[in-house]
Amino acid sequence: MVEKRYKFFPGCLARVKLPHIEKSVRTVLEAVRVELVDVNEFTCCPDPVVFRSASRLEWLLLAGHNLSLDGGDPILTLCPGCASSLAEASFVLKNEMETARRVTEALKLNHEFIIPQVSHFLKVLAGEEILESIKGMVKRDLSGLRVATHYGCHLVRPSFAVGFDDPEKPKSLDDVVAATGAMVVEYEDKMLCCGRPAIDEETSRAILEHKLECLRDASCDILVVACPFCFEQFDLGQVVLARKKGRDYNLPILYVSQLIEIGMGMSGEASWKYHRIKPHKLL
Amino acid sequence: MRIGVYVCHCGGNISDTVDVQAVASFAENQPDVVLVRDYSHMCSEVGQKMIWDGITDHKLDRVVIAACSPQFHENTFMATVEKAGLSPYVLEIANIREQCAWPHFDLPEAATEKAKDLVGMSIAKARLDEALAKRTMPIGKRVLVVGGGIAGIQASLDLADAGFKVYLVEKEPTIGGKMAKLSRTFPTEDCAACILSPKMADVPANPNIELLTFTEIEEITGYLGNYEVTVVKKPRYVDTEKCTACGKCTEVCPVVVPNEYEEGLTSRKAIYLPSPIAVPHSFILDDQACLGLFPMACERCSEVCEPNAINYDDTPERVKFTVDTIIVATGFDIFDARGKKVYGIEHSRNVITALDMERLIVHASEGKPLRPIGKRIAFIQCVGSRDEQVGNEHCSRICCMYATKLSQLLKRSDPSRDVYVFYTDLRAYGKGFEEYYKRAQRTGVKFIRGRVAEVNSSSSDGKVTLKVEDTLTRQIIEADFDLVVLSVGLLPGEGTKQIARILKLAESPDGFLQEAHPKFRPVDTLADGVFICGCAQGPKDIPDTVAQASAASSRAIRLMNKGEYDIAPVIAFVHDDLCNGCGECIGHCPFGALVLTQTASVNEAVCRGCGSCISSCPTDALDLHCYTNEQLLAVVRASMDSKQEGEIRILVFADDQTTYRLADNVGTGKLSYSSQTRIIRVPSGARVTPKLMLQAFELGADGIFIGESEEKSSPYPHSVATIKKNVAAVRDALSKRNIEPERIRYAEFVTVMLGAFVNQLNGLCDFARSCGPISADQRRGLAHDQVELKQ
Amino acid sequence: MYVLRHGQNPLYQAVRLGLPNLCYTCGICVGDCPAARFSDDFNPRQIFLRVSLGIADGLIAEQSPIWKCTTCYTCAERCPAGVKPVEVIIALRNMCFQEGIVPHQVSKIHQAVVTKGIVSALTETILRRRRELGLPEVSEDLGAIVKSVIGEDG
Repeated sequence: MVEKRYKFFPGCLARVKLPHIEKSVRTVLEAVRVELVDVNEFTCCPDPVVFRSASRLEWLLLAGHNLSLDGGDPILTLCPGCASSLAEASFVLKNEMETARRVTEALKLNHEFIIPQVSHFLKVLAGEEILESIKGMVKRDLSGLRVATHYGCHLVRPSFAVGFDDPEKPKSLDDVVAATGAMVVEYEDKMLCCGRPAIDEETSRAILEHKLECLRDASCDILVVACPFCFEQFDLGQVVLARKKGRDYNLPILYVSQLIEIGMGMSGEASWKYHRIKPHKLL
Repeated sequence: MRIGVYVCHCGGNISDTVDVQAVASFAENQPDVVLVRDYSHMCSEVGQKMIWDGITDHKLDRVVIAACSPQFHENTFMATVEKAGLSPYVLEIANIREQCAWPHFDLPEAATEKAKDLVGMSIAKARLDEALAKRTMPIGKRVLVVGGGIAGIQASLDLADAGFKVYLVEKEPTIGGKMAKLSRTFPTEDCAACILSPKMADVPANPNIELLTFTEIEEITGYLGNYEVTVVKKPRYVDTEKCTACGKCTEVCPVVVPNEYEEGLTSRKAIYLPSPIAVPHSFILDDQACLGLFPMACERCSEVCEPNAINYDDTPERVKFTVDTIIVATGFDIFDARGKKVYGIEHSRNVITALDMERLIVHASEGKPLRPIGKRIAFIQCVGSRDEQVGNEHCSRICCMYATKLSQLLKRSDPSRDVYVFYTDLRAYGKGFEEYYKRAQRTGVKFIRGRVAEVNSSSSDGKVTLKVEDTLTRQIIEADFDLVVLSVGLLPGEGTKQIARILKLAESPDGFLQEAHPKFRPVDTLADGVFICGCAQGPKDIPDTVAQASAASSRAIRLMNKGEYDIAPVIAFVHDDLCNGCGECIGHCPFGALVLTQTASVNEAVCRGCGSCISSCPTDALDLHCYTNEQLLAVVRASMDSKQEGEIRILVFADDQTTYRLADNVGTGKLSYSSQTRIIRVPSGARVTPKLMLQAFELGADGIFIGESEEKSSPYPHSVATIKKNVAAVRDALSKRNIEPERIRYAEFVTVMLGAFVNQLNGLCDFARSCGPISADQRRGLAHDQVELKQ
Repeated sequence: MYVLRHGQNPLYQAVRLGLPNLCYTCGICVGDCPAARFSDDFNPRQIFLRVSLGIADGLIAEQSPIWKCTTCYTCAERCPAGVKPVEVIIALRNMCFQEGIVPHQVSKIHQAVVTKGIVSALTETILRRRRELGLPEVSEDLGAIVKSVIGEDG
């Protein structure tokens, strides 16, 4: 029996824009018997790209706040940005003594507060036992489905902080997709960033367009991601590219838990309406 | 008593920070001091003459020199003192460079105060110096050479030719090492095998060399002049004497496995000749691969072997012998390129290592290519070198030149090839190297300055794609190649790590073996009579390796040739009047040097001088020459002389083997630590008795730190246990007086743990300061408190 | 012509946590950098070199190339010299923020987090959607929490 307890950190994007992803993650975790505790005082992690670009110290303070809430249970996030932000902040707090002193003093924390482990949802799923239990729960035959996976960046990097999977050639997402019975297809520049975190919009769009070209060449049915930001970049981004450049890729995007739900026969059709590109083939 | 004090400026190294005049005037005011001189370089001939003159003209009977660490010039000064007619053991050195001027370079006043204290401490010790005589030990002419690559071969031949008996031990079935695998050597492009094989053949032909191939070192015990070596000869299953290397066995053997000599590029049989130039030139049976050793007997090789050389019942054989000195020539391993995932050596057969390329070129030039090499070839430099991501900060030194060599051999053998070398920095530092690089450019090899970011291989056409920035033009290049060669770096081999463990040799931060001094003792180690050479010491090319091998054999000959050598008279002794014959001490000497008759006595030939036994004596009857109880107490007392109200004083007892040298390294690195510390050299931390520690606290110490060699590399492996016991006993005694027991600390070190040493010392200082002063009442009579040593 | 301003230059001081001075300009960070590949003027190697020498031109400016970095950390995984590339970029961006010359998106999100505790406001639609999906309420006091956390230092 797999049972484990985590403080659940849904993060901003799922909370305020993509609640169906939060719902899907909760459903899957319940199915594999992982208990989640909700913490009301969790603020923005804060985001490791834009907010940190404004002020590193504020980033550390807010991360310190989130890390210090509600005792020692490990934190589980559904967004790799939150996981890496909290993990990197933990790393800084453990290694930069002067900064750590400033932060703990400002937060009025006990000098030796214990920094909890931070894991992304996928790290829990890709563990051997849960992977097996997912295989056991698959009801629907997905063997004909050609799935491309996009790991994104912060899921596995910086490895000194997140310490999960291989930072250059990860396999956890492929393993989880394979556990549902779907077929994982390879494509060029698989490890290239989705482009979303580039604050410069032109760069961001150029990267996205290249990614989508590569995915088209691989003729996949859907793209599975593990990050709500990547989800939004690919899903909404296709609409923007269609509007601005007349490109029509029509590639449905699923957050990894949604694919598992489908495999388990729990496909919440209700949530498809929130996707810009509908996964018709699965409906 | 007539003491002379000499203060050295060290050409500014000392005098830029320490006020040497102040130190000299301090010395002048000390009792028994009759002569004080300061000079820019005491180690020079002029400086030594000053000491000589002092002894002859001023009738000095004790000499104190305030200068650099004793590890540099103690021997020189001892010889001077001895030549002038005194015992060399009436000399004391105050280490005011590594312990004052350098670590406290930013605090000249504190450095000067500390220097005065160190001189005062040395004067106190000198007053009680005994005029001991040198001891000599006999030494023979037998040498163990570990490793049969070009370094071990060269060292063995040099020694054997000079008339010394050599045991050459090699773990592989043949000697020759990595050099035997190379195509040609840079920059002259000699055929490697052609210049090496005559030297290999000389080894078994030399009557002074006993060659032990396919043999592992199991254990080495003992000391200079008496190293007892145990080796295990692994079973070859083929009698090297009988085997004629006819090769019939190989023809009939049904088992095929990858050939290690060819880097797995070809295959071999279970019974095989290790290499075409193998020495001994005999077949060997690989018992991991052979069928015949399993119950389903095959025995085909035995059936066709005419000289009956095959014996399936061969077993490992343990051999013991004694040598006087040891030369370690265990070489390197190449970096395992699988550790650099982005270069994808596991995913494509068109990504290979440079050693693979050496073999490909050898076969191609013999007209028997192993595989197509292709038209477009890229070399990626610094794979596993200069890369903190894989934990290797060092430059492997030879990769630039071997890539320059391989690339132009490829280009010259087929000028239609495009050959590129992607480098980070091109280092052509050796004789003829820059010219050789130029020649490669003339040949048409293209050198591009940029470290390759990623290698991707296409599963369909086998092409390999590189992504790299040409840093000089700022262009990002994405280009296809038929073959990508990884210029893998050099790492200390498994054999090097193993011998380091067995001989307790220090390793430098890069993992290679540490030389005793980087400039003046480049092939010595801190273990007496153990020398290193070749790539075991660090990456180097063939000429440097051969030069070091000859240097190591020459250093070994220097020790052995006289037939005897000097040792310091640091030996335990018994104050007969105090010994009550209780025998408590006998079991405390791990070497068995203590004997009990009416009273205890010391077997001087066996005693190693660690002083570990001394704390076991309930009547203070045991003592140690050169570090007597009286002397150490006098040193401790002198260390408190300058202590002011409100100051703290931390005593650091540093073992001679490691901690004292570590403190020197910290000083050399100009890493600062608290100037409230006073370092006292002891043969081992175990020499510091509970009584001495309590005396120190009574006299004013605020903290005591004991530094000892890490157990696995200590010459006295039992000493840590003694220290723990002593420290625990004193902590109990302090607690009883409400003094914080953590004021006594100890740690184990190796000579490279600079940061740890600084942190430990500063940590103790901070702790002592935060505890506040120990009151006079708490201190009074401490030394007479009972301590209880728990087992 | 540049006047070299080593060591104590203020630019270097601001980014020193990222250790750009350790860079030996091998270019491994550029070879597979998404931002360098899909734009013209972003070159992390050159940025490290310039900040260690104190050459700020164009870095702390309206159109600074630093905003092209995707913080994908590929360079951080590969740098052989011990530079922390992302720390350098973040420090430069922080300097821009202090000067008030950041892209609109940055000040917007910073403002949102500081006032509301999350990156953007909760709309009625989303609140309804959360209720439909049976998800827990989102606390409304997050803005106050953030203020209390970063108020004094921020």
